[in-house]
Amino acid sequence: MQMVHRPVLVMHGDPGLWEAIGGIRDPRYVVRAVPEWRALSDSIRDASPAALVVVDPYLGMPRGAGPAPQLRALLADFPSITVFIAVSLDPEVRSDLHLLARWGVSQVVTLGYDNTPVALEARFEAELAGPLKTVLEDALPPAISGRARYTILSVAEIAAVGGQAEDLAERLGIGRRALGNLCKTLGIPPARELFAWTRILLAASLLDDPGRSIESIAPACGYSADSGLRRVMQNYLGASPRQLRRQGALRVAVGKWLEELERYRRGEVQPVDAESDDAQAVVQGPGPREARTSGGS
Amino acid sequence: MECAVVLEEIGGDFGVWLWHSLRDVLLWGRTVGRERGHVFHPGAPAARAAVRPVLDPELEGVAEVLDAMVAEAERGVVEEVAGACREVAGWSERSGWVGTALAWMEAAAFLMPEDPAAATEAARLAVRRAEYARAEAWVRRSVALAQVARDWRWYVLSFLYVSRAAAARGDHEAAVRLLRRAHRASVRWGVRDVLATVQHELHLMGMSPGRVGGGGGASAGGIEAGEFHRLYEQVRRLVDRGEYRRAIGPMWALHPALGQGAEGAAACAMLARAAALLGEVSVAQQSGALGYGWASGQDLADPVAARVMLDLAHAALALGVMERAEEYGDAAAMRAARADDLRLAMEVEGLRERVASRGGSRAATDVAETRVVGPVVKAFVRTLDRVAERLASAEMGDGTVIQNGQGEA
Repeated sequence: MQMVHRPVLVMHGDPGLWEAIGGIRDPRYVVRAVPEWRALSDSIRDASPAALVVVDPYLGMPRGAGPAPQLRALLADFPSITVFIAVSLDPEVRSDLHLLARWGVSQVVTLGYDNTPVALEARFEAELAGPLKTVLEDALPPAISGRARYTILSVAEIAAVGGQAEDLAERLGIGRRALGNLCKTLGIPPARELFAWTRILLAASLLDDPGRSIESIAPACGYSADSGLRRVMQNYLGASPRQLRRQGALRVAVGKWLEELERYRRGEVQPVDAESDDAQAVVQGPGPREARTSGGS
Repeated sequence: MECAVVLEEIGGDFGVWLWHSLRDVLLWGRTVGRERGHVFHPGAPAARAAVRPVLDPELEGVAEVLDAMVAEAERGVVEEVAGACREVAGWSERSGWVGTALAWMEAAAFLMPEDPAAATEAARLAVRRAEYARAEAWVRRSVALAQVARDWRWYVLSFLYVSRAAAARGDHEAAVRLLRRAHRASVRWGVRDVLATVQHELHLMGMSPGRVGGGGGASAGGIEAGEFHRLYEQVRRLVDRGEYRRAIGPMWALHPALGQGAEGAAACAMLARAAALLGEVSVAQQSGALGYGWASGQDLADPVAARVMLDLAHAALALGVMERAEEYGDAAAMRAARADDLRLAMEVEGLRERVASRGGSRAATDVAETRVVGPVVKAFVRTLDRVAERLASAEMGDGTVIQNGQGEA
């Protein structure tokens, strides 16, 4: 797979944690220290959907005063981001865990317990495309077969770190030609369409982050320019980024995605050549489709 | 947050300990080989002991397994840890914490991805939590795993649980269809302990596994299943009461279904019985042969086949063919026992007692009554001829002919 870096923004002072982070062998993780909450917000605003954040939830707070309200604001401003907290399990923290879960913290690293390089890598890997994958897992209807579901969720993980169709084929242990046939057999869109849609879903999830500017989303998701993102959103979702933000972008995007999946499942859309890299879907039934680019790739 | 449901359901230090332990299991399960030996900090065992709350004695054994998993991660045995997860799941469910139970059972399934039991139990718990999409995802997996493992009990249970999910979502038709699939599989594979549950749930839905024509929406010979069942039961009641003439009308209404699948075979056997009681030997013979042909090819635990044999025994008894009556009665008894149908078994015993005492059945002796039904009998004969011809061309199996005083296969 082409090396795509995954930013890890760390706002924490614990030496043991930094030692563990320093021991991570996977070169994809690019770690950056962030000194305080405002700088963290600014960093997240421009970060890709694959970014991870590791924080001390009590930074700047007097003992016994509970977790920092800045953490709550951060999670509200950027619900698409995956946030780890690194804490020791003293009584104060134990009583705050439920609250932190409600705020939206994704994962907990326990200092002096599982702050090891192996544990951190395992947990980082488990959170690939975390929030989007959770949304898709809940949204995919029962009619989607187990294999199709696995393929679609794999695309979410791979696309989140900038991967492409060949990376999916590698993960599945098959060649590109076989991947095309697999998608056809499973009744799902061809790989290029799957990735195109997933990038749109990722972009939509970022649009729902109140703390992000629309202008920052295009580069964060790998689109070369704002215009590319706008064109893709209009083509696939029938609305501009600004309109989608008002409507609830991810909700709209997932709805359209499920409609498209259903059309493929019913055989209403037939790829001209499932094996071709330039496959264009030939619509056999009603639908507003026209020739599309696979935006941003 | 990972495993947050445990914190939501269970408060205090015990909830935190259970939550942390579950996360430890998942983290341990994500690593393999030598790497596993480095997943926990050297200070982890002491940290774990320091926060251990007072535990329910039922969880002491589990705690030891999990402590060992953290202290000697590389040496942990997957089956042992998965077993501990299942114990916690069971304890949690008994304590009323179903979300926690589901989370721990999913951990067991994660550690043992080829185990149909954990996947099926996860489905059951997801249904209890009204998480139907999650339950269906687990059922897809558990059915496949059970088939590979040829573990038919979990296979049947998977369909039972997904049927409950469908029923809870208001999809009655799907629920019945899935329950019938569970029933067929439990009969086919002899999963007797689950069969009773499946039958009970079918009964609760207004269906009976042995109820002829009970499949919602299905039809035999163009007669809608519910209507078939109504007519069939009407004929049965009238025949049981000796009102044979009154039975002819509804019996004729069933004639399009004759010879078509289970319903058709049941109708044939009932016609044989009614005809025998009216002294119409040829109709009894012909329809009896059709009924026998179908029933003899069915699984021994098929309750409809048991019912068919019972009615054929009644017909043979009415015609005075005692050997055949005994033979069909024995077949009905064995099948009723295999089908676990207590009510049917009792009916069979009643018939066998009469056969043993050579008591015979109440036959129609009123000549006037038989004269009235004469034209209908001719119509039945024509219908049975057509059915026999159709089945012969479809290569149906042979039928046994009930012959007065004889009885020849």
